[in-house]
Amino acid sequence: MPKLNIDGTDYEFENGTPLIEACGQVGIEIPRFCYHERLSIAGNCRMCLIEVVGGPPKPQASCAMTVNDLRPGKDNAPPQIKTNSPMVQNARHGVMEFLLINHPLDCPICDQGGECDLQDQAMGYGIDSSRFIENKRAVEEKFLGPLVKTVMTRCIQCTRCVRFMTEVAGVEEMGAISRGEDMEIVGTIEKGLTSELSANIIDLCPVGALTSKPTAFHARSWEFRKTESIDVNDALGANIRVDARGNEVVRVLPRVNDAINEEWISDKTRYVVDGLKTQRLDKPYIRENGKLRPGSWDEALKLVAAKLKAAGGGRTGAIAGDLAGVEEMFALKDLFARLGSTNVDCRQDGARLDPSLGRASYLFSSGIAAIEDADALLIIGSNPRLEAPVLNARVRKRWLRGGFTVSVILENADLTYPVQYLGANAEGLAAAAVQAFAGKQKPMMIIGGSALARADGAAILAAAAKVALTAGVVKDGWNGFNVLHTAASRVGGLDIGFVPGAGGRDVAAMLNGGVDVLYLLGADEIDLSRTGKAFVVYQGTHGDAGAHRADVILPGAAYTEKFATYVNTEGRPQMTSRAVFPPGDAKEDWAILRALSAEAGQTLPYDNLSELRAALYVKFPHLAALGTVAAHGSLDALAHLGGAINREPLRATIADFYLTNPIARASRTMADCSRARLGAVEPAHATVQRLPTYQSVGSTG
Amino acid sequence: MSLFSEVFVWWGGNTWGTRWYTWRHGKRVGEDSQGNVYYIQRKGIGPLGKPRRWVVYKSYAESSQIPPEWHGWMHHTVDTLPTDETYHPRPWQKPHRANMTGTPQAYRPAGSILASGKRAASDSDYEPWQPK
Amino acid sequence: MSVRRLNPDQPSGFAFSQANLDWAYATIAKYPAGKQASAVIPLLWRAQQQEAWLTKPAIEHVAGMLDMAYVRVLEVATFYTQFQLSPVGKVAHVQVCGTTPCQLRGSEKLLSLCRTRIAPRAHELSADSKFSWEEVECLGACVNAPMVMIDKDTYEDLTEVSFGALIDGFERGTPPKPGPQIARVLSAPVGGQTTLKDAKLYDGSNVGTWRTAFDERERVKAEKAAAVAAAAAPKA
Repeated sequence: MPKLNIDGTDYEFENGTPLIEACGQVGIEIPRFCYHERLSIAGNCRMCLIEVVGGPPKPQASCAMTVNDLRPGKDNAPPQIKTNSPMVQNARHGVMEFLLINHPLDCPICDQGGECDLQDQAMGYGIDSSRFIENKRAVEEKFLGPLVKTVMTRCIQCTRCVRFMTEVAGVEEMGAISRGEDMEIVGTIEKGLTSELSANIIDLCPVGALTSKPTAFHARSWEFRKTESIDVNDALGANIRVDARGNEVVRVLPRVNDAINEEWISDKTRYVVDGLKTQRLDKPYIRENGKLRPGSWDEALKLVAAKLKAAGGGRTGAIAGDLAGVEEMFALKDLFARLGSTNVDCRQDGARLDPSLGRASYLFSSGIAAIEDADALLIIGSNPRLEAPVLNARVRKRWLRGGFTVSVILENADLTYPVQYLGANAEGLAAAAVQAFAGKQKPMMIIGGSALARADGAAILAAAAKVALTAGVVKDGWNGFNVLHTAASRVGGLDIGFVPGAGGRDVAAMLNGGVDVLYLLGADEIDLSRTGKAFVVYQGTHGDAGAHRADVILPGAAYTEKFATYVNTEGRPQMTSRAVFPPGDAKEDWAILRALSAEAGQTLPYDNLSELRAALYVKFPHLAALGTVAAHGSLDALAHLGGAINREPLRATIADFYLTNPIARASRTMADCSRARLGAVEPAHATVQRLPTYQSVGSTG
Repeated sequence: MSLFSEVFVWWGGNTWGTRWYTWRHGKRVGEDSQGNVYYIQRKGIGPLGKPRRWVVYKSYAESSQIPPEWHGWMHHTVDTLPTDETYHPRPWQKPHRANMTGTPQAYRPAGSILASGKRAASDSDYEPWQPK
Repeated sequence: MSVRRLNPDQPSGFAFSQANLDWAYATIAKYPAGKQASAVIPLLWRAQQQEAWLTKPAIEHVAGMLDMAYVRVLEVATFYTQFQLSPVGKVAHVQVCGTTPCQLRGSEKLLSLCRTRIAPRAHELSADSKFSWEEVECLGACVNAPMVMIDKDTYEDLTEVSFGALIDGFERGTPPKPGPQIARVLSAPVGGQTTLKDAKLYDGSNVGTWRTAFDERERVKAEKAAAVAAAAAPKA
């Protein structure tokens, strides 16, 4: 391992560490704009200049040079670099002065103000004034869709956005045209960017050139109350930070978690939060003579309790939606068990997953980070680009490194990397797997909702498990048998057994007149027209399909308003934190169920969240180990299940990425995105400036 | 201001000292729309190395009531008296108004409880769902 | 440098002529498999030669041929000022060199002639759409300054008069011969040789002259040293 002397002290580093990283590892901060550890190295901002002692008599860009690139000194002494010598300071002053030549000093009206790299570094490494007295340049704004607002005059051409869109998002829609002083960043798609990860360029932009369009001029970075939490819009459990001001969630930013989302989040994760302010259920409603009227909690809970008791155990059922936390599902299951009902189900899409076959049968067993170790991937019935965009970026990252093949059984979608398309028919799954995995050391399988949510879902899963055991997908030290969920609640629900018990009814059976009282815990994505004459109780946050059908509405708390556990698709329990309070009379979901249990005469034995969790952890100890993945057993039981696979082709489950849950459907931003993507109409409030249709401004020399 | 009030309520306005100084050294150069009178040192120079300029307020001494045209002259930004200038205000220019902070005419932002007593819309407001 | 944008009016499509297409495939085949993007500049150049200027459909066409994203090709096309992004004169697009040697030798007169005879501003078409002009940086014919470049030919040693004649020639369809527009052989001195005219240089009589002179000098030096040594020896 190469040795290096930084500012007079010797250190040892891993091979290939860029000098900028090396300095960072020993606590020396090097200013930078274009360098980003998850993007390729551009070396065009020149802010990270350092002095190499005995090297060329000019400052060197520390991002574009690794610890191996330096020659040792006399008597094999470690090479020496200086990060704060007069040469370096002068270089930084000069670079900063150049960067500010064409940068408008409009920080007071810039949304980046307060969290701007250029601002901070100008304070830290710049000089007090500029010698530039000529005119600054101005650059036309570009249209990058409903999420990203551009003020291109502020751009310092670091090209982080171009590199992100090309490398991570995998859509080559941004570029830098012209050159020198006239270089401009452009997007070339008139509809805006067509990536599900596009808003990450807002975080990447070190200046205020790319800012958030939905929250433009809305808040300042120092006004926020920051809460570290978990995303629930897909089953990935991306780590997020919820920024709230007053009782309003203004924005969501990613947190770094290399095991899950690195530092990216999808556009839905980021911009769904404006849906938390619209269509909210803020008081209990009771249906009287066919009309819903506002009622009191007391009234509503008494009515629900009476109905539950009157119907009797076997004729009541509960369905948990995609956004339900483990705690409330646990309380709901507990309550229904006490009422004598085993009709509970958390699989509202009808996925044929059976927790009794062991955790290995429904988890993303390898873990998300292990995608980077795999050398072949077979995707069965899943479009990861829409079902888990951040995970898809990880697959693309693996593909970019080479030596990796991807085969797909579903529809032939653009996954941002080339795939071998094997048709939409799951029948030949085993043969396809054997073929795809021939000669591979670490093959991986991803089975998605399209394969599971159908009558022969269990058979497909069993066939996949069987071939996984034989084709080397599951072996000592490697388990590449992965189920990709789309619902944040799903794994938690399966973990606590929120599925029909002995003789219990599943979702389909409950819907067709199977129960007299149906309790929906935020379940909106089921066919509510089939509830028939059942008395429907809807506990949730938004006035979506469930609320329209409900006979009693109990307003609950959304994921930013409660402390709830969610288990991600890997089986990793994580906890959300309350950033704001639920609106109006709405309450946290477990508390509603606790109150209802008292009314129903079956008081649940926990009076606060800690006691509930204590009871939960006694039964399911692995949920207590937040952030870690417990061992998940073997696949043998699943593989022996057998069953026939029918010829029907697999169909995509997600029609519109932006409108998959009640919060997203209430969000204006998501509606704008959906419209922009489908190309129907451009959002009315967006400044539409198209490229490239400009006059050639001629002058040379 | 009358001499009486200058002697007994000398705070916040012209003092008899100012009156004496103005009588001895001042040359009246003009008066603005508010009735404030501007003076310049008759001979010699003031602390800035130039003839001193000062204003005698009509009522309460509040420097923000000096209109912009006289402000420039008072601060030695220009030497031309506004009365000698040919500047005509544009139709969209509003008449000058002193800083009203601390008075009942002070600016109250929307939602200030001092303004109308009614709570204004807030970013934290949400749109509740209404059953059809 | 200037802000370079695509022309607002674009033709509806682009296709290489058969000859150019064959040439394009041959060019792409020169590069290793998977590296066909290397052919982007030759292909764009050929597209420009075919259409006189580089159209958006041409950029898209080239991107498609090379399996590149449109924006990557656009980046290349906007980077090089040699790619004309707006229509140029049908007969000739005159590139006038305005760099120091040409400027000293009168390129500004050529430029003002462009302004009066072709169009008042660079990159604009003349009234009859036959000509356009632009000022470019050094084209490497400084010895023959001032010069202009039309298509791939350079016309050198221009004056206002000969430049006017040049434009006239293009207008008539009888352009003059490329190269110096005065009596001059390539970059040889105007009016024939001024140095190296001595006939002895070429008859072989000079062969070894330098050597002889050198030997003579050495001999004198050695004689002097011997004399000094001889003067010092008796004393010892």
